[in-house]
Amino acid sequence: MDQVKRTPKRAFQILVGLLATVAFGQETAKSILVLRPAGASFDDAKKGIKETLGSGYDLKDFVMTKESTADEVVKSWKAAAPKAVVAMDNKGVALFREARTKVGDSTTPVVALMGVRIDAALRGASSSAGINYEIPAVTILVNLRSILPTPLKKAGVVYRASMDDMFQRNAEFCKQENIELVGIKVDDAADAKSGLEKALKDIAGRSDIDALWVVNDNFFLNAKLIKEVWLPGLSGWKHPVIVGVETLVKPEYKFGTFAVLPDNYALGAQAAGLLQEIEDAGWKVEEVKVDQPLSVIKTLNLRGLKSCCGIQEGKLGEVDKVLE
Amino acid sequence: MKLLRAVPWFAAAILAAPAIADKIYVFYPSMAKPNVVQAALQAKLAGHEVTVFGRLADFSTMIGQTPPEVIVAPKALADQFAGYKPFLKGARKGGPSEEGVLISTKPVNTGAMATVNLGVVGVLERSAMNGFVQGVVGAQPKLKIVTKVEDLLPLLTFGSADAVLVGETQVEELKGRSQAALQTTPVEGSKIGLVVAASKGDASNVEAALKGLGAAEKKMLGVDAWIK
Repeated sequence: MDQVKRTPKRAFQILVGLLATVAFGQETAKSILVLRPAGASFDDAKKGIKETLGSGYDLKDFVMTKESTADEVVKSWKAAAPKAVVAMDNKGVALFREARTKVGDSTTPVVALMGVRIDAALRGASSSAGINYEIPAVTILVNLRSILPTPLKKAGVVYRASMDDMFQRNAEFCKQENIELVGIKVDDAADAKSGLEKALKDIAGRSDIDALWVVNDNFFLNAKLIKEVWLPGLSGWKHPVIVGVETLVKPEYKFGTFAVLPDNYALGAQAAGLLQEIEDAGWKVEEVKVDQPLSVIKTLNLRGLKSCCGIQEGKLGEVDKVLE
Repeated sequence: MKLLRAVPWFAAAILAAPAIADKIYVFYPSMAKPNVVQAALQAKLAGHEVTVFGRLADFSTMIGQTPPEVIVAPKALADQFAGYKPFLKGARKGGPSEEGVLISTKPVNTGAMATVNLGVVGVLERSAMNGFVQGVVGAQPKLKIVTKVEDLLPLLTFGSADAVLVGETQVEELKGRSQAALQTTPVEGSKIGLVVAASKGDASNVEAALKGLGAAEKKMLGVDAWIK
């Protein structure tokens, strides 16, 4: 191991450094470039990052529009000289990747969040980390199970064949909590309506499925299919339907029973934790690392849950929003 | 005549209400949502203005912006606000602290805590949490700090933490949510301070009201009694 020689010159350098620190007070705040769209969700996430990191960090905000270009990001990047970049939304990730090439910088790390399939969006990007936006089924089901008066052992889900990796990963997580995720796979090339009709018939026809998890996928989840397939297909079904969109849990729609959405503030706090881990590692990420989101906001259609299944006494206090 | 009949009721109402309405800020992360805790506490602390915070940053910011007369928070956090002096300590089983417990899916080597990825709920700002946890486990593990108690369980499910640290009060409610094979390892000899009530000045009104909380409300604050 090399030893630092304590020469008079070296001692002088240390003294100058110490004097500079005393003279100029604290170290300069560490710059973090934040690429994000406008909107309350993104504001919340940024707030979570800022409040968790504290005063030693300077968040440089680049609020994207539809017209934002990589050249504009490059300009902000050069001005900010960031230690790391936070990219929100898939557009933020795409702009980051394009700008990084233009800047000629492959080492400044990025933390990506609030986009669809962040794991896929970061594929091949060096020094990158992220947090998926999709809430894992196990988180959703454990939260539901904790308020139900009856056991939740099996949950059904309809998914496209191209999302099989997502299904397998979720099924593995669910096993840890003794929940079996029962997937009905529909070919991507199939007609969405008939494929969904058949899948729902399969699930509704089984007596051992305790809940249905509706994945946020436009292929199956759109106004037409909700009206023509989901609602009639589940009309006599007496189990909870879990959705990932808050509007779908409104009691008047008679569709979703329980909605679980990301807690964007906490997601920001989680991203701040990743940034600090990256800082501890010398502002670099050796291998692409994508975490699962930890924190959620739960909304309950109380009327719907009471009519199908009931609720454990005293458990309403664990739900963030109760709709009646 | 009607007016005369109303006078005793009016006088009684004035006498029943606390002489001075104090502003009370509460921060105590638990499974119960802040709005639920706030409604329960407010019902028992009538005449005072209770605000329960779900986020540490909001609690700290509001103390700076519109300082309350009283704060109720974990001791380690209350100690950060120099202007507030504790007038009541929350207690469990007669003492003002509880033992720390590690919850994990695999056995934890408590002799090598510095190598453990440890999940914990943030009750202090990030840098101060290192010292706080070191004081409990006797080493400085790599921390995974979450904002809510319920978020500790996903840390274990997704393998983001080797173990999570909680006070013994929260072990059962956390384990009760999970059907995973969770193991508990008490951190022998550790002490985590429970909540305290602290004030800037005379808090005799609030003190009496806090002592009058029922078992359910005290449980929401992780205590079963108050001691001086």
